[in-house]
Amino acid sequence: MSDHPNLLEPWEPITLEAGQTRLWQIGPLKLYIHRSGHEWHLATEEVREQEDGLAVAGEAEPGEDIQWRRWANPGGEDRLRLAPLMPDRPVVVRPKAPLAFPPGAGGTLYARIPVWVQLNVGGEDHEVTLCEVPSITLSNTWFGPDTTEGELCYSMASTLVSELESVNPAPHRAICALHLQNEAEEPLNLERMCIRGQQISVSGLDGCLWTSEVTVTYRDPAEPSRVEYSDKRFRKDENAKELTPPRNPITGGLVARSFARVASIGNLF
Amino acid sequence: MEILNKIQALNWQTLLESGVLTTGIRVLALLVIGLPVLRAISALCRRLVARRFSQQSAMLVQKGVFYGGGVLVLIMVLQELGFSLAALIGAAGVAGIAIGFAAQTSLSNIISGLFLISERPFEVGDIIRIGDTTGIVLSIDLLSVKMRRFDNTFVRVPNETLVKSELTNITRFPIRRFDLNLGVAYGEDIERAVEVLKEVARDNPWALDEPQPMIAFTDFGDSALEIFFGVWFAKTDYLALRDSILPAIKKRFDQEGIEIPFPHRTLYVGEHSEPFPVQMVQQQEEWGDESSDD
Repeated sequence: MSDHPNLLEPWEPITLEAGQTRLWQIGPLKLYIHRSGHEWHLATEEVREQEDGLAVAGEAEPGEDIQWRRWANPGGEDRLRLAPLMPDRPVVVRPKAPLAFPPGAGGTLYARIPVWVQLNVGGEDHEVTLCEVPSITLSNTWFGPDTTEGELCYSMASTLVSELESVNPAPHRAICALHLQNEAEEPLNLERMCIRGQQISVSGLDGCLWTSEVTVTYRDPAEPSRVEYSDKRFRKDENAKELTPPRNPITGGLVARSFARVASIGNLF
Repeated sequence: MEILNKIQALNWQTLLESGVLTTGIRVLALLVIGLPVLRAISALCRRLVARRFSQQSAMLVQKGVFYGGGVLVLIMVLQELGFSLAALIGAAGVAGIAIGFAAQTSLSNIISGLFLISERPFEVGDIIRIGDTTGIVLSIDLLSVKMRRFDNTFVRVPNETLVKSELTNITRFPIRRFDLNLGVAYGEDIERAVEVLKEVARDNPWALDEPQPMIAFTDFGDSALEIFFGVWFAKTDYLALRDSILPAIKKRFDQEGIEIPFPHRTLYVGEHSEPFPVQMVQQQEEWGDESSDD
């Protein structure tokens, strides 16, 4: 990966004085945050042409037609922290061209997933989340075997790449390493893949955003693939810092999860 | 006053000793306490079931608990009043035949309701179309289904009608396709028109990337080249998609100079390029004389 500025700056906490308006630019997303005496105001703007835009608490000149959102701040809190988060829906990614994995073969592919920006206010021990905004508007897509079963996902324009060196870090994208392993007896033809970000955390390392590593083991076309998430790499590296935990961390043992799945099975009537 | 006199004339001591008064109090207590308690229990059951299962299942549980409990309360009341349950069941058998003939339609609706419940063609909250009626299902009851039309009118559809008729569940699946038939003028480049439609779909935030939009040249129409344009969307985005994509198509076609023609007829005599012949059939001065008469 080529040299790049420190893309982790926007995620540091900051103090905003009353009456101040500051601008953050994280990729194409511009966030204007204003603190009045007892309110927080937020306005956003998307500038698609500025894909690599980066600004932290800069001078702000929001336009007159900008739409502000407001939150009460009775305690007069002045600390705010932006946090990167995985999208609120699964994301469908594709390789540049369909890629086949022969039986027994595996490999690592990299995706750059746009993050959602979470606005947190308040002290470190009593932070409150005000809202989340996407850093870029993603188009919707459907992922499933047919039009009656499946789930609504986001579709990413950027593609999966196999060389880490060709990954261009961006302020609003987290690099996701996908380790694929084909344990079936037939080739695995990868045309597109659905990454469910609910169990994925976001960490900062080497000035870039990274997600948990995802390992997908393909066994049988009739069965769902086994998916595992791991933050081992970041836990071992003292330079790494977890910025946001998963939206839905996996809790409970295998039995608890199995029972949770039984209880969630449709209606008995 | 007369009623008070009659009450005062009653021999309360006799009534108490014979047990009529205590029976009456017990029956009243069963009804006054039993029915509200039953209603509370059925509402609690509904809330508990609604946490894990659908609204429809919760409603069914509530009705089942309430009606089942109601029958129990009725049996207890009848037993308090001294009726023999065996005799009642015997009488009910005879009465059932008579009631069956009289209540054919109601029974048919009840049985149709059971079929609807087991088949589950729709649930509470779904948008369905039956005949000319389109609306949101409010409840699935014993005899009928209640719906709310989009103009906020209330519709009651007998269950029998639903079982006998073709019914469309618009919101059964998570995604739907918005279908549009449009025509472009015969002189237009059909491939360019198709390309523009693909771009319109790609730029629309509510149109799904996959399944891909379906665009097909379907017919040589009387006035235009017919194109079918089907774009997929999440079922909750119907209005947003419809209200954005139609103006977007018009705007892009205008920008690209692609004509959407009105229905029209072209007359030509023999050759397309030859001018249409016009023949004078009356002298102009004669027309002038005739027009002065008006």
